[in-house]
Amino acid sequence: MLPAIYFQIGNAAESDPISEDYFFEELPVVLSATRLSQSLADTPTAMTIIDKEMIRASGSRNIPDLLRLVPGFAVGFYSGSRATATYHGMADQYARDMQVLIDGRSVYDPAFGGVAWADMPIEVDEIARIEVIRGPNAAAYGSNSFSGVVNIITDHPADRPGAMLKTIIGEGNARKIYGRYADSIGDFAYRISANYDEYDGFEEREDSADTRWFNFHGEQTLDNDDTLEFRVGFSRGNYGEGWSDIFQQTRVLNNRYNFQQIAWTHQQSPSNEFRLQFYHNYQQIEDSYRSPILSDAIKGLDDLQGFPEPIRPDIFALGLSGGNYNFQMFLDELKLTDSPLTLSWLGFESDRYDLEFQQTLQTSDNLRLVWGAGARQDRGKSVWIFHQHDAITRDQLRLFANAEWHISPAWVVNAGGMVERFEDKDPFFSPRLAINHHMDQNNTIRASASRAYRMPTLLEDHINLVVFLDEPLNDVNTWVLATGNLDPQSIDSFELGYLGSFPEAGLTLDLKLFHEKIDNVINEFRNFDIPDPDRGLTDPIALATLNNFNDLVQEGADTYINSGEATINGLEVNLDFRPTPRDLIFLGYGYANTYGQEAFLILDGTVQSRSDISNNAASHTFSILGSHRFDSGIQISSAYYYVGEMIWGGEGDLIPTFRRWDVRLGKEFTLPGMDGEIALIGQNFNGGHVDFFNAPSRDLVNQWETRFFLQASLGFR
Amino acid sequence: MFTDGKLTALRTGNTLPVLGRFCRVLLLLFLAQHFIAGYAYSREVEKKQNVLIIKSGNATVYDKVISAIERYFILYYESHPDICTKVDTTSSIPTNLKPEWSKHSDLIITLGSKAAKFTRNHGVTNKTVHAMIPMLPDKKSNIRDRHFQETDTIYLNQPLERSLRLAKLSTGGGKRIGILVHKNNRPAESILRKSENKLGITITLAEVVNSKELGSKLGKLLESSDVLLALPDANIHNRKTISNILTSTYRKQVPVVGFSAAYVKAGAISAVHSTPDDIARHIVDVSASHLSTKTNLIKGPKYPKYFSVSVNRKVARSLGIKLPSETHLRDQISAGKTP
Repeated sequence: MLPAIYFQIGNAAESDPISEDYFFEELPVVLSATRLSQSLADTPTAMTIIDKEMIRASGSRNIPDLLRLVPGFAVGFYSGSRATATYHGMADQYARDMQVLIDGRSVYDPAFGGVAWADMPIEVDEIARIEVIRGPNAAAYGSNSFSGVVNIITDHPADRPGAMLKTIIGEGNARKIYGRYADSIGDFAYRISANYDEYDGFEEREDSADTRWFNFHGEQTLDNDDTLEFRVGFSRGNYGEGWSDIFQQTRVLNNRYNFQQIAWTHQQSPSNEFRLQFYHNYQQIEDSYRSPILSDAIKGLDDLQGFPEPIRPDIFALGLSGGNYNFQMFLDELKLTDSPLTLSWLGFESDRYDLEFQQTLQTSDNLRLVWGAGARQDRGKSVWIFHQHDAITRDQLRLFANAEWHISPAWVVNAGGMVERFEDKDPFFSPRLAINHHMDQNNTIRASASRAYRMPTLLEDHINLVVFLDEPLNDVNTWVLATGNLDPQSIDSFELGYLGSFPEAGLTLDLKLFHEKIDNVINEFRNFDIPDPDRGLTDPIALATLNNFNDLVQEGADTYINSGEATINGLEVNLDFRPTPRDLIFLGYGYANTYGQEAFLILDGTVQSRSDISNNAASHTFSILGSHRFDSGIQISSAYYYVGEMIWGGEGDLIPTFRRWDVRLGKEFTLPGMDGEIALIGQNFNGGHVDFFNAPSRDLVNQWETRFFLQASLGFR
Repeated sequence: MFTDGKLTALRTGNTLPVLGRFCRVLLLLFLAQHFIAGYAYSREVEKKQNVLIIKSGNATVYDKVISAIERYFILYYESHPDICTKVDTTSSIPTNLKPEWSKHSDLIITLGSKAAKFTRNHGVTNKTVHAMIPMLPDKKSNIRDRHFQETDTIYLNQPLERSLRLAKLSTGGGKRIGILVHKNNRPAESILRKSENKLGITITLAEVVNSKELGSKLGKLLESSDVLLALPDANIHNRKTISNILTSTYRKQVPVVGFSAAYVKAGAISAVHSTPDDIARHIVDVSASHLSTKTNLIKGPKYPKYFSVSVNRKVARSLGIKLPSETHLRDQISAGKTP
């Protein structure tokens, strides 16, 4: 009997698509507590999230343009393709007080600070979302997460498999072609992408640029508990730079950038996860330039135009030497040759090596803990900037812990901090404490306090930028010199926030009242006490002549000092309204009352004058983005950006109120085996506004004109 | 539980011939111990029923259902002494059954497809309840012949509307429900459109032919979905794919509504499903109607009468979706209330 039963059962067992076991089988925990991110309502600081919908609707061709949407942000294009982006102002070409991460990798340049946005091998279409933490967050992200943190998260390769081509052509000789392919082989998902673009930039500037890059992202799922991520990328770009200035001649920078990143995530249990990550960034800018030879440069001086050209060098030498030297004697006595002066503002190489271990623990239902340790080496190399052929390095060690404690369903506490120790610096601690109260399921209020630091960059700590004669290390004039071991500048930030989340209406509203106090501001100023190189001269006439010559090139030198403080009080509004899946309205408004001062001039060892910094940030910023998608697949969207009058630091200028209006018209279509979109993008409809440089006297004004771009993309399924 | 119309009617009906029948009993050990004290006292008036439960395998879920069945039978005869004072249950997998297994059973309950097919293949004439039968979304059960269509068959699957209601409740305000379906197991358009009108939702189906294109189809579907509803189909949702489905949807901040407690534990925001207890309760409901009458009553396949809702609070919190308690959600679904 028994064999018969076996036989019958065996026969009866058809190939069932599902059996009852299917409904009851245990599954591995995929979204364990350690892998979950915080919801907006539980985050300790105000955040702006820019998602794919907003990216597309904005028509932005680059990341800095996207950041215009964020309340409190100002973006300055110092050339047509290169930009700086700052939160709460007080920035120059290199916004050194903001941390930027792409897929968990800090892209902050250790030598100059800031981010070389144009060199990043990333396309806006690959971005899943950008989370902008508006406020310091050094407790989680370390020093330089000072004014804010921009966290760029790209698509997982498995999420958008297939091939895609995108091209842009437009005014200003805009040309772009981008291609990507993503697929999975077993448990290995990958994406390769490549891009070429070129753009002529501002009409009145010689700032044409072309960039090409390649990027690879792979993720190997070993099992439910282990994942390996690999990312590599490189870019090469040529950027027109400079203007009609003997020391900032128009020229082309040759930039190279590459990075490698590997991360291993291991889930020990659903409540215990480890992550180990290593990355390396490399940036190189090839830039040096030479003046005409001395005699020719002298012939071009304005003051000598009244003399016949052949005798101008002698007149010049006689003038500087009190009638003692003609031009040839001037050269001989000062140990000079009739060669060009040569220097570089920007030519350098930098590396960042970073290793981090992190453990996430869900110790109980209400308490989640993240702690970790990291080590980093930053390296900068430039004979032009550091006056030595060897690289300058700086090591950092860090230890951090952050806890998220749900005291009750209505109360959440976020507490944490990071201790960092930099080589040759005192260790410092960046704490943060925040409490969120969910008044009901729609309304949350939060209060938070945090302290963060910004480390001096390698440049600020070690610069020795000298004007050379003909070749490096043949010193003529000290241009910028680091004169002491700088302290980090600090910020204490207090925030009161409200988050209203009304999912039924598709509305999220965030209000933020803040008070920020910045101390020990690292600022650049002219120090007339800094002597220039003496070229080994001993003869008093020769030395006096050399001094006169150097004063003509530049008297004293620029340097950096911790001197200054700033207070910023303000209010920000961030509103995201999507009443239907086809409609989007995003609005950002920031008001900031900035006051404080920094050293402007030092003479005889004392600060002679200070400058007011209240204009270094805009009082008002406003952005609005609206989009509607019709049944026909047509999408119309428009964005308007407003930044009040502000001064850009460094070589930047006072820029009057900035207004920009963009419109985008897109049409999606489907063909057999492919989907695509054609879009017409019009930027700066209200053309004519000035950006970053506004110096007619230097013949240097960045003025945007209305420009149209046609964009086509095709995805192959 | 047993106060629905058919049983109330039966209490006043002619049930005695069945109840008076003497049956040989195979006692489970613990049941024997449980009843031994009262045995002598009640032997004259004892109205005993023999129930044979055939399970499809040795998985613990069957034993959980069986022990719940036993509990519900006790509750049943304690509250219906006029109908029966004792139910003796025996459970076994088919291979362990003695040759005369079907002869002395007043009722046979099968758990799972294999056990159901076993009784069919043996041409059993006893009253039978088939339970825990999986069904595909297009209503194709994997036991298709008339025998089962004319027997009390209780599916494991939830009715589509029940799942859709939970999906709508789990979006945090959204109305767009995305469903991945295998090309062979597509729910009928008419049912979908009817549900859309009734519940005020839009349903988007993404048809998957092979697992290779699952990623791209899911990616596209999520662009226009506020929630992904997972319907039971091993072609789509299986041990290998669930991890990717959950992580992809989470990366896009879209919640997944699953179909099992395990799916919720793995990372789905919620699921409507029948627990072993829910299943047992329904089985005993149906069994009671058989035990209390000679004639066959309600025949044909049916969805689970009782169900539970599971919620993953941590996932909901992370997605910023506020969900009421599980019982509240279940009651809302039962009452047909969706916002």
